[in-house]
Amino acid sequence: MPELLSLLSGVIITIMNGVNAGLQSLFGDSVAVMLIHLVGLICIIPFAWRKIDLHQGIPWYFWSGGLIGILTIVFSNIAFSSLSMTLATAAALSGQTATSLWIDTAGILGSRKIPFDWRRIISLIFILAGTGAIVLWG
Amino acid sequence: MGMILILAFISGVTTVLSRTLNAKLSESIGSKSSTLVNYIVGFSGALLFFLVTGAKINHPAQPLTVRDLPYFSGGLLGVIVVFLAILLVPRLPAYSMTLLLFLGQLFSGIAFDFFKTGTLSTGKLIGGILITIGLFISNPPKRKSLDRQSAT
Repeated sequence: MPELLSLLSGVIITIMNGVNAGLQSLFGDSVAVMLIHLVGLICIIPFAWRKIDLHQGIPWYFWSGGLIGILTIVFSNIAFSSLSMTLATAAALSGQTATSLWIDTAGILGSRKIPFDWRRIISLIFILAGTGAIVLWG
Repeated sequence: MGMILILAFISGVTTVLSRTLNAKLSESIGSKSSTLVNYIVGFSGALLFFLVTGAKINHPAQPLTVRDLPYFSGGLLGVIVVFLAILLVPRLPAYSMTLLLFLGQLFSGIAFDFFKTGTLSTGKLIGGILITIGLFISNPPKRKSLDRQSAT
């Protein structure tokens, strides 16, 4: 079930990127990003408006996900406007894969440690081959 | 171009980091609150970026009509994506989640291109199949999907 939801999320991301690109051409990049977050806020506030205890001893960087997300948007915008779509996608996927492997192998942030075993090495070869096919013939 | 490739790579790093941090935060304050925090902090960052880059507003060439409404749905879709990610991060290995998200994007992209232009990219299709095989190879056997995976 989590696997299916992840696939579904990928589909939603495709649609989202499409409509967001439209917004960017209407208003410009930086305004669009603000608008997107504003609409997002309006959508989530009715469901999440409650007191948040700020003094639970939560590490400060746990709160920074949204800010790091802005970096994602800024860097993606630069990359996708300068590189071919497949090349930018391949580079971004490489970053995601490297980070994911690091998180899994080292058990970062309390996640389950999954060793970088032969299974994953062979898997990675297929990922590289697949990414290569997309870049070269996509 | 090398610098831009590095930026693209880093965007991938930040993608994974932000959802992982949001998920960690949700352990203390819940998934809906963590989604809210993501958007409060994100909006602040977007506002800052807007001001720092010269507060440029592109005025649309034509007045907005109801036909432009779908372009504003990205915010809602983003909330769904962020919220789903917060729920899914503890339930999947990061590597699997990355590949599944990518495959969802890739195959839907291929489908949308096909319905829009009638063309089918064989490179993307072959690439998608290879990546899918890679995903299946990496999946540890006999793991119940609904288990949370925290190391405690």
